[in-house]
Amino acid sequence: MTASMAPAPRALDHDAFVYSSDEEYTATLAPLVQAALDTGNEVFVVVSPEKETLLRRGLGSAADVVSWFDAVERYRHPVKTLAGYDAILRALPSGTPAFVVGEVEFGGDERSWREWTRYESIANAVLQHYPARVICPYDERSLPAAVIEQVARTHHHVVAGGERRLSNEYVGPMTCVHDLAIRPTLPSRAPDVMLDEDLTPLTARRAFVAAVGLSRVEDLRIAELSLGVTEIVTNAFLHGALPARFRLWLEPDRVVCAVEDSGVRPHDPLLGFWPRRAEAGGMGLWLTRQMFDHVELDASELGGLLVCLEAGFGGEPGR
Amino acid sequence: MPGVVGAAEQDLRNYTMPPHAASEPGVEHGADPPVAQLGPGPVPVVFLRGEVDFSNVVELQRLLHRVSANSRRVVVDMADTTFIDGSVLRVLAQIDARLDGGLKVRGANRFVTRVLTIVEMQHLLIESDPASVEP
Repeated sequence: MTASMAPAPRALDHDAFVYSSDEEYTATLAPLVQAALDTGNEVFVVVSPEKETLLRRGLGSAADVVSWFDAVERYRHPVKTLAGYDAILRALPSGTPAFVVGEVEFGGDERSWREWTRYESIANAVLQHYPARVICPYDERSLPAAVIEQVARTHHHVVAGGERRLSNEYVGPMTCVHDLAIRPTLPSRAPDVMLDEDLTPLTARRAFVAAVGLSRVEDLRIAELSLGVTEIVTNAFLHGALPARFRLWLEPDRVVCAVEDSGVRPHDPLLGFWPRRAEAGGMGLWLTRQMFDHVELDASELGGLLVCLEAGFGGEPGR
Repeated sequence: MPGVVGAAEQDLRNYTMPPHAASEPGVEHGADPPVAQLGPGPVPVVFLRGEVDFSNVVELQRLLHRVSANSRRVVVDMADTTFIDGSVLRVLAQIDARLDGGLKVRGANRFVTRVLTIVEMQHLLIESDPASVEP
């Protein structure tokens, strides 16, 4: 087979596949993977080891030409996952069609469900120009209804009961991400660090390093997080307006920072989710999203933007 | 370390950034201008010291523009660089593009290496010998 025989999609095609048995999983996905291989697609399958075993059984020797990735490793941090897919698809020769099976690891709490649902929606924007069909299996047996309910909003097509239909409920990522906004909740006690009139990227970074240095966080991790703090405070100076302030709360298992200004808030809900390289602008928030576990934007009581940064000390996810 | 000299522009081979020379009023920093140093090698080397962020990156930008006007190659020595932010990455990418891939970074610590890798600029990294970027 040659690539020229492939009916290459011109842009991203994003399917959700809702299933409720192992048999349905294999019987649906194995023929789709086989057909993609037969038409010259590069095939990437990102699923848990258990699902890989099922699919390999269904594919037989064809499994050997598929690139397999462990979903448990790949789905730890949404912004890094997106950057990873972007890198994989960008590395393909121009115009090469790709077929991806990506089974998101949704985690066990509501914030995590929302973050990964938001990820599914953002993927429609970030990966939009790649000639790729991405199928995301959703296991109805283990995923909460709150997650299953969203699949039609975040995917162009839904495959269920052996049928593929265009999703009527699909909404663009701008709307969906706006709807899924996660309001940050800051600790109610007084902050451990507070900078306002003396706030600069340098003073915030030094205060952050001094405070987090008291915990048992590795130096490299502290430096990475201090880069995020620097970027957000720099943004407040460049794109926001004074007065601005920086607050930090150090807790036994995490650090929370709030950077606020009194300027005009940006309205783009996808800000900082696009994988950016240095030659492009707007990289600071993207870098920060990679460094911290959670980065959320909200309205500040100062009148401008509030950026809430949160990092746990239990080791960095998604490394 | 070579001695500091007030050499003519065409003789300059190595340049040094002072530690955090922030341009904002009220921020602690050394106000010294970048120090030009004569080095023995054929490839200009810019030494970047301390913490470099948006507030003092313009010094680096000016130096690299000057150097890249007269050389197709430049090495940025980051052995004494303790912090860089996104603005430094942008400057390095700009100059590297201007030199058609002629900019290299040596002596990067773990943090700088990690940040360059995240933004897919790890190809700038070289071992410590500037001769390895000879045309």
